[in-house]
Amino acid sequence: MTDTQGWSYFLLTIVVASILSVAPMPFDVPDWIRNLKPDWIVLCWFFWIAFQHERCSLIMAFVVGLILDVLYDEPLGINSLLLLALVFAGRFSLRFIQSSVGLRSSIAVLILCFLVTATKSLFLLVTLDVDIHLSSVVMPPIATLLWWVLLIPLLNSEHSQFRDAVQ
Amino acid sequence: MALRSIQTVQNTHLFLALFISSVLLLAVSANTRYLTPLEGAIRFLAQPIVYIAHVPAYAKDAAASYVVSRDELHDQNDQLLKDVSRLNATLVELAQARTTIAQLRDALGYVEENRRNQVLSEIVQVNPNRQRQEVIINVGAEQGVQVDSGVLDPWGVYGRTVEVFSDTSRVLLLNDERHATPILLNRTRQYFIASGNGSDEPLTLDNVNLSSDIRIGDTVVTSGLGGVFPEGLVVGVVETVTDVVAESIKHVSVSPSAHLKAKSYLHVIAPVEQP
Repeated sequence: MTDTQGWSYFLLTIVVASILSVAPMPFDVPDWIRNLKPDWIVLCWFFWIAFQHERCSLIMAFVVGLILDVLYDEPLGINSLLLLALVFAGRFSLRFIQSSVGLRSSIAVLILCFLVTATKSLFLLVTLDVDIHLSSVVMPPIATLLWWVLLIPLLNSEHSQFRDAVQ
Repeated sequence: MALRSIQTVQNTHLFLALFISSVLLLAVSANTRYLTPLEGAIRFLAQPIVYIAHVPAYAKDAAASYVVSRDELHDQNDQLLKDVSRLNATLVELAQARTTIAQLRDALGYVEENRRNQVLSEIVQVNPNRQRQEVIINVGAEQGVQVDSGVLDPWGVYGRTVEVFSDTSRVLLLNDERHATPILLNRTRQYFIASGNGSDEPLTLDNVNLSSDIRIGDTVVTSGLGGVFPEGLVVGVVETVTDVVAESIKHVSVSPSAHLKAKSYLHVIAPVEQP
């Protein structure tokens, strides 16, 4: 795979994750199903940090974060701050994550996603004084973990074309 | 090894620089409106993502409107004919009432202020942030919509515009925690403020005295104060009334009449330009 193709894959997945994040659910969907929506952005960035961390530049995280701020209609800077922290923390724990695609990376996904969701909720609680339900903080990291677990067999496979493609 | 150390230091410096920039942006955008032009520019760039994200919803609506059985169309047509006939009868009554009102106004020397026009609109986007009850509608400044224009659905007061672009507007829903509506009880004509409490929660009336005469089932309408809504538009119905003797107040919850989770046509109350 050429470098251009690699960047194309990277940017495409970021755009798809952003689209999935803002795609509306029907009005009549119960709250517990809404809460099962994973944090596609964390999932996508974590994947690239784990497998091609050199593509996840800090500047890219900052720019994507600003776009997410507008897409989510949240104060400018909050998502860039969280993405920067995610990339930085991910790079520091790279050896831990890469040592075991299964268990250790799942633990890292769960912790990082929970920290991102909890920090954002706390910020919104303090600045906008909105009610935060516990389920909206706890469920997205669990849903993200479930999606990550679904990805593991694909990533673990020695002959996985996907793995070959991104490496 | 030395090269790697230099890269790590550079990365740390870059991280710190971007981290501080994010914190500054956050502090400014959370407390002021100086960054609104920047947000507008980023929103313009991100529009394709928003449109693509809403394609499944548009497709579902389009499919629902095109794929209808013959029997359903017959039923709908019958119902619409009945509605038209009933509304025509109401129109005649309204025309008579309007004539009477005009005569009374003439007699009293009443000068009508702030004439308003209604602009029909559709919801084109729902804010994905669950802490915010907001939608985007497909009318904006070009159609005469202004910031703080009232928005109605066929059942009652829906919200108000908080941001207006050329062809679209952002509407803050009645049940958003940042929304407060000056209201009055139709039965007693007492004034209150109805505040939103988020998705699926009823509105609450603020500072209701223990001695206030409020009953379950009372109709709540707009008071006309604040200038966003004219007086008399239906806001909702009193759902529960609880006395809190220790604080000498009543907790009153109001169920909104508007169907805040349904996709329907909305009417924006826009001021009519004076000739």
